[in-house]
Amino acid sequence: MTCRRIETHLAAYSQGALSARKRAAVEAHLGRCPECARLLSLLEETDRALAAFPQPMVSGRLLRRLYSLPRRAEEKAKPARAFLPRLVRQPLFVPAAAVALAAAIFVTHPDRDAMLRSLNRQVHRGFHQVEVLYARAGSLLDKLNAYREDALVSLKRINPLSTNGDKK
Amino acid sequence: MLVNSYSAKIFSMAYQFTGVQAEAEDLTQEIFLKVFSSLGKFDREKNFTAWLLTLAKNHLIDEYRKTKWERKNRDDFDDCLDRGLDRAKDGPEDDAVLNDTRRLIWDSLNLLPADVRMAIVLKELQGQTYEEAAQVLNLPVGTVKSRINRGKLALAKILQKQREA
Repeated sequence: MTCRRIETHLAAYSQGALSARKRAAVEAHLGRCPECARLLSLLEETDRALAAFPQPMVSGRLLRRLYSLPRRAEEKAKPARAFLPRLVRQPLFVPAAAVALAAAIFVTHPDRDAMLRSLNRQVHRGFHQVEVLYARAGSLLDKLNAYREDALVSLKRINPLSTNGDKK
Repeated sequence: MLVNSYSAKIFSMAYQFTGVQAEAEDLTQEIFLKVFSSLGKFDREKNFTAWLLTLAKNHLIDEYRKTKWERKNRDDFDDCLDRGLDRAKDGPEDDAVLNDTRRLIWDSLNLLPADVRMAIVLKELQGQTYEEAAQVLNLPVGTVKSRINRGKLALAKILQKQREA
């Protein structure tokens, strides 16, 4: 066996986990190869060192952080469970509640007429702005069409594929 | 309860794998957060410790892939781990050699590929059996054995280079 092949068996050899035939082959090699014998000795030293490795201690700071974790998780979960009924988690509940609240405020408000007039003005102003924007968009479209037409006319005049120039 | 029973195990696994105390503490917290949020998914008929350690192993490997700790130096062995050494076992001379070997191994652990390092941490440093380590790693026992033997051989070769240098 070569040194490279022996190396793959050294760990199993040191643990006594090789078959008799392989063990004999490894021992025969070790008897004549000081390099592999040295590697075996280092492997055994590695084993001893790993077996006696100290376990690190958990710091008080980490323990405090860990003890606060379940509480933090509960705090996050509690408000939703305690104060909000299941209905709140329905997708339509929140917008429906907002609309109902706005309607209730509007109906019971003492300056309801003034609010209505103000709302009317706002709506009309909004409509007007939309109309202005629409008109501007229309004129922009017209301008773009005009540019396109001009560009097409110019291209026709230039006509880079024309062979007139060659004839001249 | 869960923290009392498993914090030392998870923290030492994270610390031995990363080699950086602050990193290991953050990872331990993240692992416990994951555990608390996944407890509902745990199948009560299965081994809880194996489930917890598998979750921890997956988190450590995932984070390793994202951040590549091997670029960072590991904490100084004497400062962080030497407190627990049992000096009564060997004579003072043996103790010095063994301590030197431990320091070299500690410093060299990040040179091992993550999967090999994790197998070494579970079996050799955490003291699990091959079967327990195989369950956590979700691998056949034979694969775990060969992975650990490969890791030990690599560490022995690193020792050899360091001693010759």
